[in-house]
Amino acid sequence: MPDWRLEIRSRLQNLRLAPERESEIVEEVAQHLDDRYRELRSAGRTEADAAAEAWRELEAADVLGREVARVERPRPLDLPAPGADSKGRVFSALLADIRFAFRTLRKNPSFSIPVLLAMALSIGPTTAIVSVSNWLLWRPLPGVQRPNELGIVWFGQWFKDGEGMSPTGISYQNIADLESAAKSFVGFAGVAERSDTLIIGDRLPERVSTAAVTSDFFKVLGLSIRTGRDFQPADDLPPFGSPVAIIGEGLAQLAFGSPEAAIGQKITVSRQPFEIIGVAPEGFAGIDRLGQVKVWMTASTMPYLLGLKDPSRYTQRRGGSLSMFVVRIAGGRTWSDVETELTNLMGGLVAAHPEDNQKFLASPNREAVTARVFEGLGEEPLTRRRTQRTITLLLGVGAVLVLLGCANVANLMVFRASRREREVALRKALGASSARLIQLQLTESWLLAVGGALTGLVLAVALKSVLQDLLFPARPGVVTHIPFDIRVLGLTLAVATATGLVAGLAPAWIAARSRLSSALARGSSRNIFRTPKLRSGLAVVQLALSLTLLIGAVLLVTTVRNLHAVDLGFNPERITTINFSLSSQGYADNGLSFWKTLQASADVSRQFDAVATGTAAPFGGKFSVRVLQPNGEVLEVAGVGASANYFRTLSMTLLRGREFTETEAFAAPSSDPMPIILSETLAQRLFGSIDVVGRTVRFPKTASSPERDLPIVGVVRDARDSLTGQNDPYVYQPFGRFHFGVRQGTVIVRSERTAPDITAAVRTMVAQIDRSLPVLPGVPLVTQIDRRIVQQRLFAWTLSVLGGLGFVLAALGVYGLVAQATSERAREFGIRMAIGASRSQIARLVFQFAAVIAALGTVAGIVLAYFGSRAVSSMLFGITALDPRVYLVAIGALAVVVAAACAIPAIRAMRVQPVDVLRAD
Amino acid sequence: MAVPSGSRELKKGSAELLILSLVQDQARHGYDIAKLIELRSGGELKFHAASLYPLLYRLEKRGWIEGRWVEKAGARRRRLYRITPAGRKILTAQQEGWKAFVAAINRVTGGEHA
Repeated sequence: MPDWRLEIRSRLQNLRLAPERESEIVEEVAQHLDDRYRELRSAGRTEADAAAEAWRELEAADVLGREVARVERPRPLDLPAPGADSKGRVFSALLADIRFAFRTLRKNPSFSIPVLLAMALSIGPTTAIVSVSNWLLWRPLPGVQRPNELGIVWFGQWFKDGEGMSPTGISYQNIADLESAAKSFVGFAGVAERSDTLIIGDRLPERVSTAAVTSDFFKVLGLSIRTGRDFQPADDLPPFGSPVAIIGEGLAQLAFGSPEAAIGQKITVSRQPFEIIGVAPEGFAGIDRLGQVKVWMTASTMPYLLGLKDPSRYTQRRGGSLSMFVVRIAGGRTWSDVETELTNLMGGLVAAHPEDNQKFLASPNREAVTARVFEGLGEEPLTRRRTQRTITLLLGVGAVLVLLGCANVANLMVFRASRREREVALRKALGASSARLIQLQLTESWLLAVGGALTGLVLAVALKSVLQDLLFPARPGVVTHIPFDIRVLGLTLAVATATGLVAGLAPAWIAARSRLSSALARGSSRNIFRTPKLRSGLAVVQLALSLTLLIGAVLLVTTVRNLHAVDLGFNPERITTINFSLSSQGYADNGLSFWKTLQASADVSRQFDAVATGTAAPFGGKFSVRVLQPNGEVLEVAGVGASANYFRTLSMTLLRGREFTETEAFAAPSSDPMPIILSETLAQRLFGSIDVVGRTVRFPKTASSPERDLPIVGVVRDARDSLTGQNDPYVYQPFGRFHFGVRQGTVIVRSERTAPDITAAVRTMVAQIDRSLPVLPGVPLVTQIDRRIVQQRLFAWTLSVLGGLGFVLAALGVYGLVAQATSERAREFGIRMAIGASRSQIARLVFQFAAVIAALGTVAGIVLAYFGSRAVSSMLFGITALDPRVYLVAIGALAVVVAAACAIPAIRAMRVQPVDVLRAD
Repeated sequence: MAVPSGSRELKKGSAELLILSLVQDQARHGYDIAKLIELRSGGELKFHAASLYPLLYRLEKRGWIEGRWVEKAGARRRRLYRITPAGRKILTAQQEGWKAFVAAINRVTGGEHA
């Protein structure tokens, strides 16, 4: 009987049927032909005749194919077998590889899950770090044109000790002179960010960020007003400017339903009416990326806004309130050109108007006024460097983590590659080229990396909010949501791809050079004394990197602990502070009575354990006050205005004398005699003793009062206002003494109740005095102190978590390595035991191997940490970067981890039965 | 082909009905079906393998018949087709339509006998 199958199959071959289906059809049709042939033969026909008749069943050559094609579905794609030569079909080969890799990975969860986890754990946190960095440092400001030409100029006097700057206002006259003479810049717009009470219609009053700007502000930025019109020079004319405002797009939507509807509407900014003339482009909220500016007004409306009858402080050449400017650099100029030119022009201004511009000159404690130029917008110039350093360091940690993940994955992959040597060698023998095998291996590792990255993104979302909270505790409610933008996702995938390829290189190389003869000949028993050098190297790298992270973590955790242990001189627990701004409410001299009433009603209500009023709580700011030392020299000290209960509320220890009385605290500034209380340090500084009650301190003449001697009524223990610095000398004066403090005072509450609860209670009390005064949310004092150590806490947390993760990864790596090495040496161990080695000697062999790796990792890690710890040294407190105890702790932890990782392989090695091993041969 | 040219479409339409009626009482394999069609039509209708199997696959795809590989001891496995409930419905409908059609044709062509 002829074989019909080949012919039938050839008639179906163009249909690209699924192989199983094709076989079925071939079998069925061939049977039909068999049946026909048999029937014809039994009817007496010759073989040739019967065959010819049976062949006729297939009809014309195209019939079967055509008819089947109308019913059957072709298989999706004609893919070459994995590892087969692609013959130019690179893409379909790649698809085949991806499918194949996916299948193999799914079949080997004990390999792919650890790899996915390692990838996720290294890429996830890094993505979170990158997305926060992007949001903080790289995100463009919405609507701003050619941002690389823009910079910020600050005018101010830098303190001679280098600690900060006091801004100097530049008047409109001086601005005009600077602008007309300047050659290095083409745009120069003043901006003063403020905070005002905003009332729109019958909405509740709210406190919002605002900005007073010169009329060319939006033009210099290149922003086009979304709806309405921009400021015109005529809106910005002294003495009071025009009461017109441009508002943010978000506010326009929220308050009026649309930007168009907002135009022409009236709003009230700090009790003064303004008319909306324009709406800023969507998303624009000032020149700071974290800015929240909702209302822009012209700078010349400042006297109007403050309700001043005499605007001369703002309108004369010697006055001026703008100290920050946005500058657009001229083509071909550098930022140092701008700074040099401005400094020279300032000198010219002093020479031309010596009388008016005297304030630009140097004073005993301060340098002459200079212009500082900062390239780029988006971040607060003074904190910019610190933010950048923080982010750089975080990114560094992220990079270490990715490296660690890479090493770990490479380690696992090399392990697997050595297990698959036979499979790979077979493929090679069947004709796969080295290039194809490398491609297959890289595809697999790439797939793992991308899978890991996707898992990592889930982790990143969770970590991002933690990072946010750690980075921005000072801005509650401001930074609520940092979005992932497409660039971050792109970068993550790029990093994942790179990681996958790097991690896959080593196993790919192993695959490519593997020889069939050796791999097959090796069979199931493995090369006896082959030490996996590559894997040992990777384990050393892993240990080194995680040791570095761990040392950093120990340093920062110790720092945070030291900072928390600092004796503050007061007790911040259960204290909530609420800041008030009366100045934006048109209070002038009646401010004092507001405070007096509020303090009295809080005392009467007995809702809290204790309540005090002050110009500030510790960590909340201070005034600079000048006193004369007994030798006649001026001493600049910190000043705080306090009410009667101030020290008791804060649990500060009164060392001598008494607190202020209620009457003293709220007396008018000019009333005599005004008692004072000294801090311990100030008393020691002035008199060398704390037994000074009854003596007096001489205060030099100021603008508002003559030189006078004030009596000391008490001495109080030092209260810190920073965790790391020296104790400043403090003088406490009655609350009513500070004009400015009365306008910007603080209510300090000691109570078990929560901050929102306390705020609500205070709000009720305030409403009975002044219904239109907004009450800001109260903040626990503990939180305010924590804000000072944001960086330390951030890194303590990050490094601990990442260091811990790194250790887990490294431990896994060491375990895998030792386990493999041990199983490969099983035969050797068996022989050794057969000739008399004890079990403990065998265990020692295992640990010896691990100890070498651990020692190398430790040395490398210490070198890395030595350089790495310099990056964190500025953050440390109470510990030095090279403290040997830290290194000992970290090395100890590493030793424990390595020992733990070796325990199981060592036990397994001890259980080796010589007989079994030898029989296996 | 044994049928006169021009009747190809007719044959195809009727073939579905033929196959359904052949497998309605018992499961049959392809060769069996082909033989029975030839036999019962007195040689008038004849299917070659190249057309028969695609037709079977189409009916199967429509869910009117169901093919199943059946193994018997000492023999090769064969694929047997049997009617499905859906196929049975179609068959009943088609048989009735066919009867009505034939009756109508008879009334027209053989009016004097009616």
